[in-house]
Amino acid sequence: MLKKVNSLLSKARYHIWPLSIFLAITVIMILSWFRTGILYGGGDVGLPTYNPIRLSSIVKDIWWDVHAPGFPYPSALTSIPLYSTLAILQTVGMSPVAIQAILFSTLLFLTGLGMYLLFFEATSSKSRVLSFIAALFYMLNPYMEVQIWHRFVHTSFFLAAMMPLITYVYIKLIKSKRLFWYLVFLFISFAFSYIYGSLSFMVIIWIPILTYSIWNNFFRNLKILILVFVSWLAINIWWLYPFWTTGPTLFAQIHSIYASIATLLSLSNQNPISVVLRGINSFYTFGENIWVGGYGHFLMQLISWSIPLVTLIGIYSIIVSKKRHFYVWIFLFLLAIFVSKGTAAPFGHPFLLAFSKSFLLGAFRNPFEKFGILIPFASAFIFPIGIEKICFFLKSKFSGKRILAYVFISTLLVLEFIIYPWPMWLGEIFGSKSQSALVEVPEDYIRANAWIKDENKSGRILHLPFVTGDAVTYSWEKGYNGIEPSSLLFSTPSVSNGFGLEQVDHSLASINIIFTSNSFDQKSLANVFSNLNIRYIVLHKDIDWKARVLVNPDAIEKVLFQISFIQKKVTFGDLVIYEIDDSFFTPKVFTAEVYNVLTGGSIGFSIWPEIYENESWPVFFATPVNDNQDELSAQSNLNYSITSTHTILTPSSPLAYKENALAELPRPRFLPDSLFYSLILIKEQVQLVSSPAMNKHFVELDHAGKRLSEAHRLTEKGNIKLANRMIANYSKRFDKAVEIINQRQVGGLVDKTEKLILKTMLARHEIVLKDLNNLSALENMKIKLSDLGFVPFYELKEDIGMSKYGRKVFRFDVQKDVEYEILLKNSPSDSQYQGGLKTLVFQIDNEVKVLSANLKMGFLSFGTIKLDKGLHEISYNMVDSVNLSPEIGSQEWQLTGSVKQIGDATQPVFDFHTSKTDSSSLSFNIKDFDKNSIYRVDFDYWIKKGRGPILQVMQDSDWDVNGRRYMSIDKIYDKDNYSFYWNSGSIFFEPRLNTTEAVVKINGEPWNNCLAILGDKVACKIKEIGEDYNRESDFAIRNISVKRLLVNDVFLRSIDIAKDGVRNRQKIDINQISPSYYEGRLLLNGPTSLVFLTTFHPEWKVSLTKDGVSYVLPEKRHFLANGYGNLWYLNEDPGEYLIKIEFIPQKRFYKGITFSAVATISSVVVGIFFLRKKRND
Amino acid sequence: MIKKILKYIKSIALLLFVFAFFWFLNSGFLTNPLWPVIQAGLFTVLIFIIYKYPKIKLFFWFLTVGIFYISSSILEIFQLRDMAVMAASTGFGTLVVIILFQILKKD
Repeated sequence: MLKKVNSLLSKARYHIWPLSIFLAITVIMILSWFRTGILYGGGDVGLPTYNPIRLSSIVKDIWWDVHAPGFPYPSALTSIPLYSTLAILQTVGMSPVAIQAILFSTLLFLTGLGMYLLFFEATSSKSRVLSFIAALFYMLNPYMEVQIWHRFVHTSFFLAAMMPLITYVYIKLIKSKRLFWYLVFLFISFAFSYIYGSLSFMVIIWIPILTYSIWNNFFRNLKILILVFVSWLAINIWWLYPFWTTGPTLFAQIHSIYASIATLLSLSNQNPISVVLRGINSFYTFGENIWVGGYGHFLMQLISWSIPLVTLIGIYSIIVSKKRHFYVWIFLFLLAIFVSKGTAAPFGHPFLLAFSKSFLLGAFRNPFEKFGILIPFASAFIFPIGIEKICFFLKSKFSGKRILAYVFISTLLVLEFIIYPWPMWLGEIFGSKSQSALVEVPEDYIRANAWIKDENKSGRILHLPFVTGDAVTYSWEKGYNGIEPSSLLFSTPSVSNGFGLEQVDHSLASINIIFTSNSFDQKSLANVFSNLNIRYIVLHKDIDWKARVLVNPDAIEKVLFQISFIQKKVTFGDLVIYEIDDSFFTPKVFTAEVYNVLTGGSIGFSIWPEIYENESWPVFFATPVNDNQDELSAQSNLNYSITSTHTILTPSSPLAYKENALAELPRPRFLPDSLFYSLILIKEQVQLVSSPAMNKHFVELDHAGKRLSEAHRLTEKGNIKLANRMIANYSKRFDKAVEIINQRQVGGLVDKTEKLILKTMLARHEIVLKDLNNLSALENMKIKLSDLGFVPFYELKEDIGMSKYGRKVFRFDVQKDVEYEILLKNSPSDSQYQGGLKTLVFQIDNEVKVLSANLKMGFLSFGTIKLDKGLHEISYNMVDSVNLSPEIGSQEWQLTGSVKQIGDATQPVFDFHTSKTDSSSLSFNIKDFDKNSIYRVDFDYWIKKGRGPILQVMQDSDWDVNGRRYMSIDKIYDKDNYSFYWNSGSIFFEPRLNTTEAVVKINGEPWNNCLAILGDKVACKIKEIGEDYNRESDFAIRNISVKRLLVNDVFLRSIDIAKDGVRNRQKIDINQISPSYYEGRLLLNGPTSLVFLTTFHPEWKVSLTKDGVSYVLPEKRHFLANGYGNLWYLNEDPGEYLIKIEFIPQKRFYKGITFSAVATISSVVVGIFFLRKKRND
Repeated sequence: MIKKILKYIKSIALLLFVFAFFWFLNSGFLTNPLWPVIQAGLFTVLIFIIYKYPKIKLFFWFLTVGIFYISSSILEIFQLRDMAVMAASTGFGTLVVIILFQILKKD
């Protein structure tokens, strides 16, 4: 034993100076980073070291109740070891900053130590100097600086520290076959399990180990590799088992293959090989998100290029000197570059091909971030050899003055390890000047949390303004930018932000809708609070609402002030706490007879308070899920309401004309009866293969158009048989294109512009097909495009003044044959329309009808209609409102500078004159403004001299960045060489959802030709120089109008609505044992529903026990409640039952722990025997 | 004579295959649609030269890669991003071809 300790001490003494330097670097950096004594936080991780005790209590459950209304986070299980360790530090009294400093310093030191030991062990050189350079390189390379530390992704910190360490231990195990190294391997695997929170890192850590094993006597080491891998699985099965059995369904909802491909392509374009080779991320170093200055300077760029150049020399030296044990690292280096650059050149296609075939590869859609760590890892082996080679070369060149060689090498190392990563040394590594990463959580949060906790009442907190995404900006003393931290800062479950899941987010969007409604309704608010089991409201006045497009806290405060059932309780700084009266509070679990059924698109989940506006409080409704609607159809007394599953907006004018359609298709050079036609087909095939994945549908449609054009020419020539073959070929290509478009649409990648381009292409095809009179191809086209939601299913009629153009079509999936009332959301008001919308022409399926309107609560009712089960469409033509600009001559027109009103009072003209120094403007507020609208601004303009008018629409939600106001409409209408005298300007304007007021402004500014004359951007930006080139401008404006388009949504509601939607609401005696387990007693007197106000998940199961007999309610009786929660229809015999509500994956976690313990012990026992035998062999 | 012609045809077919293979590998390139083809041609020529003139020193090939890297850095300094990417990607592609060739040669 003593001998072993002595040997260990002598080894430590041998390596003492490099280890001391790593320690010194760590200490210097940590002192520099934490010199302010303030915590770092924000970004994707939030505040991981702020309160580890609380975090460790949250992550031990798969179901996160604290982020209400709840969601499963199986990947967070991996952080249990980390947070438990940090919780110990917090328990012994360490502050969050001290905990963070200790964590960062440990990781930083391990990063250097691990690489030093690995290089020393894995290479035969056994050189301390080279190992030291390798470790310095690994600690201080650009990738480590930007992608690991600056990005502030904590799993990456751990990966960077763990990878060299675990590879070193594995190599030691292979070489020594000692049990000690095997146990160390298992310990590291467990202690660093935090990294598996990023799924792809599970693969990454095995790549160096696998590569090394393959390169060095693979078959001899195979058994050890298998032993280690199986043991690794065994020690990680505690989280892997619940993760794999709960995760995939969630991922499928969040990412589709096409969405992943879109991300991959965009990131590959952003990180081409020139960037990947150096391990830098241009986005942060000299791109849009630059965090410190200097990296754009050419000297810094040259330093960054010295890394791949030295590595290149290293590779050359290794190959020439035949250092075979380094070949493995060259291979790993090439592999790392190849994968990290994604689809960028060279050789990008195989990556894309693999990606489009596998859903699991979606985890690598950002390959530079996920795989890139292998670049510095592999380079760390090659770089020192490059340095060594340069040193030898210089020494031989300047044999008399060897000092020159050392000076050169030292300078190079200083440039690369000190100058280039200067933000690491000077403590500028996190955050940026505009967005600091320093966080000081105000004391008010601690006091507010304590106050709510002391009240000791059940129910959730609603944080307002409600954040629809997951990120928030707070204007705390040091600021905060990152994921919404309320669920960490408050121990009561918090409804604070969205989940990224369409269904839940739409349901939560009702919160913002009720608070931004022009005429808020007390009952709607009560319904929303009931629906979410809200007890308290915390109003955050410290939120930067404009930056995140949120509702203004002042507007929310005004609404809250007027609500009779809410009491303002207490104020802590910028936090105001309100409490909801007991009589309006709804518990999380209760029974009720729920008669309302809402079906259709999930968009309906955000406006349900309006749909059920005429029902008494509280409103609850069920929605079939996973095709269990037949369970409902047996019940006759349900009230069905339907929202549209699709809305189609037809263009305001034809997209293609008969006269031009054929000419606008690709013109065939050779027809199919030509000898050269096969060459055309080869060319097309090559085009198709070489086209980027994102454009393939365009190429397919282009080729399809060519087939149509050929068919047309062949028909003219009388070759009908061949023409028909071409049309069949057309249909095949069209189907392929539709398939791609469909996948892209599912991934949310088809935006309005792309849709318009595709619709235009398809409109031309339709015209030519009609001309060719091919009915089957036309029918196929109609069905496919209707399925895509590009065109209506029913042909649009043009009776009673209806037009095919400018039509809004609502598609409904009717699930029950009953009579429905047609309702049009009456927002903002029917009075804005000519004649007050007393009648409106509708097309219902194939029939056109004039329907009269009745004004009901919040709706215009257009009578009733009997609809059968199946697909139906209701459409109307968009109607312009009256002009919403002020009356001519009214005081509401704001004129500044030199604007004169000329002409008669009925058609005035505004004459603008802009001098060399001043601007002129005309502005007015939009009357009866409503954010849920689309407006069109029209005007005529005549540019007489200089610069044309600038049309701006200013919203009170516009935000300022560096003194510049960002407006959604800010467009100049300038002169061109074609149109003179009067021209028309027209633009559509869709307000932001947090806007309450909008101003239309027409601006006149001086004309400036500085750039044209000087050609010097920098000089022209200097005010004194630029203004010298200002010239006067004159233009006139007339016929200004702002009109709202009637695009209000249509809903259907079954007419039997006399009875209440909810009856016999009963509290039940149930206790929450843990976030994923509830138990209690249930008294049933007859059929009813069990409502559980937690996010719907098919693995929430209810089991009932009566007279010793237990059973689980079948999944077909499990429905969505109010668009997000759980509802089970109960048709049990009357009596008292024991009830359990359980989230099943949590059980798997406990099973996983047991299995993991047994499997690890077993594998260790096997390992002991196996390694002993191996050593003896 | 026929044997010679057959040998030439075989060589050309092989080169065409290599060219097509590189083109296939490159088709995911985003910046310039012509570049994948040109680059595939360059790599084919490179393989042809390495095969035909094995006496060319390894140093020369590494120097070529280095020149591509240096060109890329200069082009980047002058804000010619697309060209910088082309130079760097050709350099890296050349490096991959050289290394693969070295490994195959040893085998």
